[in-house]
Amino acid sequence: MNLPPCELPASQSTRMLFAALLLGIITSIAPAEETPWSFKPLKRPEVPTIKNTAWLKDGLDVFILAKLEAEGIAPNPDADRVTLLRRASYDLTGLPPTPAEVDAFVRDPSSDDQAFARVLDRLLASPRFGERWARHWLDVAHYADSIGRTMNAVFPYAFRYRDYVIDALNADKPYNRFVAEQVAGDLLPWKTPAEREMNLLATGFLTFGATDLSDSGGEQFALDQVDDQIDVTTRAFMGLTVACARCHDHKTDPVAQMDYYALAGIFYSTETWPGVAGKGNLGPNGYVDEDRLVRLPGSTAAAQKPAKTSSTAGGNDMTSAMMEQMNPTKGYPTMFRFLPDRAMGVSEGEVSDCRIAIKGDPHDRGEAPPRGRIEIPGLPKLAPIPKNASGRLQLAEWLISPQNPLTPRVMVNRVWQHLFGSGIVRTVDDFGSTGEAPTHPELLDHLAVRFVEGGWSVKKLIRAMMLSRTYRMVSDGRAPNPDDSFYWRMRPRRLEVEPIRDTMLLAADRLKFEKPTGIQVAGFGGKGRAAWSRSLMKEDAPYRTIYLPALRGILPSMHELFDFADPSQIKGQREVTTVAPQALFFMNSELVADLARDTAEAVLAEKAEQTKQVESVYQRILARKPTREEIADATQFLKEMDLSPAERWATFIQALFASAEFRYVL
Amino acid sequence: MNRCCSFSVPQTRRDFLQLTSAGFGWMAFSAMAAEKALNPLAPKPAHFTPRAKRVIFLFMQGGPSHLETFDWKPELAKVGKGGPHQLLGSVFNFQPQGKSGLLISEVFPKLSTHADELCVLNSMQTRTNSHVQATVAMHTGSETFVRPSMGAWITYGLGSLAEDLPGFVTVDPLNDQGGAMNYGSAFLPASYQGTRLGGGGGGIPNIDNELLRRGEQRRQIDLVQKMNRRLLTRQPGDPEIEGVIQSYELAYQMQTSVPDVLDIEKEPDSIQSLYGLNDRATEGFGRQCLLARRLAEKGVRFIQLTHRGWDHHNKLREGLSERAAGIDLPIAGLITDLKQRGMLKDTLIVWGGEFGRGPHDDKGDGNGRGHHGAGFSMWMAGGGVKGGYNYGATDELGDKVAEKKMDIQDLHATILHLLGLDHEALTYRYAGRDFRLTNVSGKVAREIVA
Repeated sequence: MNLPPCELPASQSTRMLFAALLLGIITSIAPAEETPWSFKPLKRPEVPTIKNTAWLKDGLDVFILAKLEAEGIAPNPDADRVTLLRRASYDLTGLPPTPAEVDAFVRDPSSDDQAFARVLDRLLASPRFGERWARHWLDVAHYADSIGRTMNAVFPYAFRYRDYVIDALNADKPYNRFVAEQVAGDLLPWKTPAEREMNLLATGFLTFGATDLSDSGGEQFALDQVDDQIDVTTRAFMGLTVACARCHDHKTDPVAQMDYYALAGIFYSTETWPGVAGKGNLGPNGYVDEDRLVRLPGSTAAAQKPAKTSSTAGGNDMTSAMMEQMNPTKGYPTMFRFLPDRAMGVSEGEVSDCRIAIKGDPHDRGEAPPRGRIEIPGLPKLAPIPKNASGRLQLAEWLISPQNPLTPRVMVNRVWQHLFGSGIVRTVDDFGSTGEAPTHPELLDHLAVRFVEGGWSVKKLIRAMMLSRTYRMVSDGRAPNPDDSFYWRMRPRRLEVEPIRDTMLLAADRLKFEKPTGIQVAGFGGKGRAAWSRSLMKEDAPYRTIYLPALRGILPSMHELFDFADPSQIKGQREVTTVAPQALFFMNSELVADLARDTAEAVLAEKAEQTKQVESVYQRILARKPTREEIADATQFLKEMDLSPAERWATFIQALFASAEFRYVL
Repeated sequence: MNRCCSFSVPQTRRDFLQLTSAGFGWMAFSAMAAEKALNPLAPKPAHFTPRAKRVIFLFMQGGPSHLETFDWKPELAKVGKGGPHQLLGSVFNFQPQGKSGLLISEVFPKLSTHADELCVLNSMQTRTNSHVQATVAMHTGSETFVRPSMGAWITYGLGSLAEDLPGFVTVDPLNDQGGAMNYGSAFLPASYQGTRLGGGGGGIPNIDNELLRRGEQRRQIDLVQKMNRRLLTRQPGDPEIEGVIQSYELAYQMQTSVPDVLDIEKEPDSIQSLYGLNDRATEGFGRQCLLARRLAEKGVRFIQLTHRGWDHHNKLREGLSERAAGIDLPIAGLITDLKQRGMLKDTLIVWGGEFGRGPHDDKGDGNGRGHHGAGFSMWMAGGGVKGGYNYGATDELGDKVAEKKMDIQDLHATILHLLGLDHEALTYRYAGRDFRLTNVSGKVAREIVA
C-alpha cells in the first residue's frame, strides 16, 4: 500500500491544498477499524511441543526450535568459548575481553552453562554495561547536545540526562520505573534529595525536540514542542506514531485526532525547560539560557564544587578558549560554566486542555478534548486527571499499567534486537499497522510476560536471552538461505561506531574509563563564527565514545561514516552500510594511524619475541590468538615491509583494525 | 528467489561488480536490504524514460533579485522612482536576447548568448522570507522538520553512475543557513547524503596516505583482504563481508581517481579560460563550474555549487553587478562546454536562490530591496526543458505570482519528473509513514518539458 505522507503544512495556500487532498483521502480510504495485533492483551503463550528437548537451555528456546523443526532447518552448533566471550563482551560492555578474561573463561573447568553464567554476571555488574546500553536508549530518545535546526544552540546540560540513563541501566532500575521517571519524574514521591534529583534529571527525556529557535515564543512553537513530546513518548515506549494524528485522524491506526489533542493537553499543561531561548528572548548567553533549566535540590549538587570553566578533558586549547570566553564576540560568552544545580527537564505548567488545531493550523482552533481522554480501541483508559494537574502522572501510570501490552512488548523487542541483530518485530519503532508482524509472536509474548513478572528487570531479561541456546550458536554458514529470521545461527553483526572507536583506543592503551567532567560543548547558536556550536572533545579524546558530544548537524566524521543515528530522529534501529569511505578511514585517517602507532609502541614495550608480539596484537584487536597460518603471514609481512620497526608494526596493526573480522561480532 | 547464484565469467570490471552485487558509487551495502542483495547506490531504473540523467544545481545564497535579472517589469519601471516606502523600478536595463527574444538584464551579457537554452521560471514562490528557513525549504522541501535533501532523495531514487565517486556532491556548501541539513539524508540511509568538496580542490577526507608508499600500502591491503577472504570462507557469500572486500579495492583505486577528477589544472588553457579561470573576478565560481563538469562526466548524479552574497538590501547596483559578473562567464562556459560534449541534453542545470526581492525600495535610497518569497525567478537549462522559454509570471509590479504558480514542491516535482521519477511514487517508509520529497503536494510543470 502506498500511504499518503503526513506532515504539517505551513502556509495558507498549501493548507487549502492540504484540506482538499485530505477530503479526497478521507473519502477514499476508510479509517482502519481493525485493532493491530500489538494492542491485543498480553498473555502467556502455549508452549509448543518439540522433538529435540536436549537442545533447550532457556524457556525461550522452545519457540525458536518449534519453528526450526517445522521448517526442517537444523540449528548451528554452539560457538566455542573464545568466540562466545567476545560476542558477550561486546554485547554487554561494547568492549572486547582482555587476554586474562579469555584465558580464565577458556580454562574454567565448570560446565559451559555455569562458566558462561558467571561471565554474564561479571559483565552485567560492570559499569561499562550502562555505557553500552545507554547509547541504545539515547538513539530512541533522540538525545543530542544541541537543538539543531536553524539556530543550533548547544544544550550544555544534556549530558546530565545521558549520565542519568547510564546510571539507571547500571543500577538495573526497573523499566517501569525508568519509564515513569522520564515522563513524570518531577511528580513522583521521593525520600532523599538524591532521589529527587534523579527523578528530575529523567524528565530531560522530554526536552530534546529539534525545534526552531528562530520561530519561538508563539503558539506554533508551543505546539511543535508538544508534538515532539507526544512523538518521542509514544514511539519510544509504545512503538506508535501517534504524532501522525496532529492534523487528521491516523490513516492506518485507530488513533483519532481527538486522541492526539487529549494527549497534547497533557504536554500543553507542562512547562518545558530545555535551557535555550527563542529569538525574541535572548539573554546574556544568546540562545543558551541557563534560567530556562530546572533547579535540582541540594544533595550531590551541593557536594560538587562548581567548576569555574568548562573542563579541558577534550584536550582543547584552553588558553584560546578562555580568551574567547573573556572577550566574547557579540557580547555573548561561547563557553559555559557548569552549574551543578541545573538540568534540562519539565515541570507542571499552566493547566489547560489543548484545542484541536484544524488541519494543524495553530490559529484555527476547534474544541478541546479533556486532556488524557484517550480512546484508542483495545488500549486501557487513563485514570481521571485532577483539575490542577497536567496529567503526566496519569500518563506514566497508563504507560506501565498491566493492561497496556505495548510497553513491555516494545522493550523486550528492542533488547532482542541488540542481542540478535534484528527485532522479533523488525520495525522496532513501529508496532502499528504499518509495521511488520512479529516473526515469532509467541516468543515475543513469552518474553514480555517474563519481563513484567521479573519486576521489569532489564538485566535479568538480557541474562536470560544470553543464556539461551539461541544466543550461543556459531555464526558460520550461508545466509540468507535459510533466512536469518529463523535463528538457525547467530547472525554476524557489524559493530557500531562506539565499540569500533573504543576498541582501538583500548588496544592502544589510551582509553580512560572515567567520565569527562563538566560541559563539553560551546557556542550559543545562530549566525556567525563565534556563535557556531561545537564540541570541545575531539575525536581522539581518550574517553568512551558515548561521552563525545552529539551535536546535531555537526557530528564527528567517524560517527557519520559508521551509521550513527541522526540525533534529530527517533531511531531505535541504525543502518548498517558498507562504503568505500570506511575503507579509506581505516587506510588513511590520522586517528587510525595514531592509534595503530600507539598500539605498536605498547606491543613493542612488552619486549617479547616476535611470535608473542603478534599474539599480543591479535589479542588486543580481535580478542583471540592467531592461527599458525596467521603468524606465518604476519612474519612474512613484517619482514617484507621496507620501514622502521615501529612503522612496520603500526602498518601491521592498522591492517588488523581494517579487517572485516574486527568490525564484526561473530 | 535466485538472483546471484548462477556463475558466469564477468567480462569487465563493471560486470564483475554488478555480479557481486555491490559495485557502484560509494559501493554501499545496506544490511537492511540484505535479503534483497542490493547495493543502495547501484543504478536503479527510473519510473519512466528520463530526460535528464543528472542535475547541476547552482544555488545563489541570499535571494537574488528577480527584478534585476530575469523578470522585466515595465510598469514597475514607470512608477518606481524609489524613496522611503516607495516602489522601485529595476536598476538595470533589459534587452531581448537570442532568437527567442528572452528578456535578460544587462548584468548577464555572456549568459545572454545562451538565452535560447534557458527556461526561465518567473512564478517561483516560497513560504517564508527568512533566509534560513527558505534555504532549508529550497533544499529539503520543509522549513518545519528535518527532512532529507533533494540530492539525497534523487540519489536514493536513481542510485549513482559514478564508479568511484560519491553519487551526490556539494561544492563549498554553506556552514550556516541550515548547514548540513541542506545536503543531509535525515531518515534516509547515510550513504545518500551529500559529500562536501572544496572548490579549490580540497577533496574527499582520508584520500591519501602520507606514511606509506603505494607499493607498501598495496601489501598492507593484500594482508587485509587475505584475512577478509578467510572470514568469507566461514560465511560464504555473505554480502556484507563481500561488501567490505570490494570497498577496499574501490578505496584503493579512489586514491588515484578522486584527485584525478579534482585536478582541474589538467584541463587545457582554452577550457580554463572558457570558465574564466584566468580572471580573478570569475576564477572562484569558474573552478566550481569546471569541477561540476568533471564530476558530471564521471556520472555523479547530483552536483550542487553554492555562490554567496546575493542579499542586496543596499548597494543593489554595485553589489548585484559584482555578484553577477562573478558567475556570468563561468555559467556561460559551463553551458558551452556541456553542449560541445553532448552532455547538455541530459544534464539539468538549475539556477536560483532561496527567494527573490520585493518591488519596494528597502532603505529609501533607491538602491536596495528586501526579502521576497511571494514571487521570484529561477531558471533551468538542458536536461529536456524548453529553451528560450518563460514559464509563469508575477503581477505587473513583480510582487506576487500572477499565473502558473511554482512553489518549492512544484519545483521538486518537476525536477524529479525530468529525471524520470514520479514524485508521488518516490517514497521512503519511516516512522510508519511513507515520506516524499514533495510531502503532500507538488505539481509537475509539464509545459516546460521540451
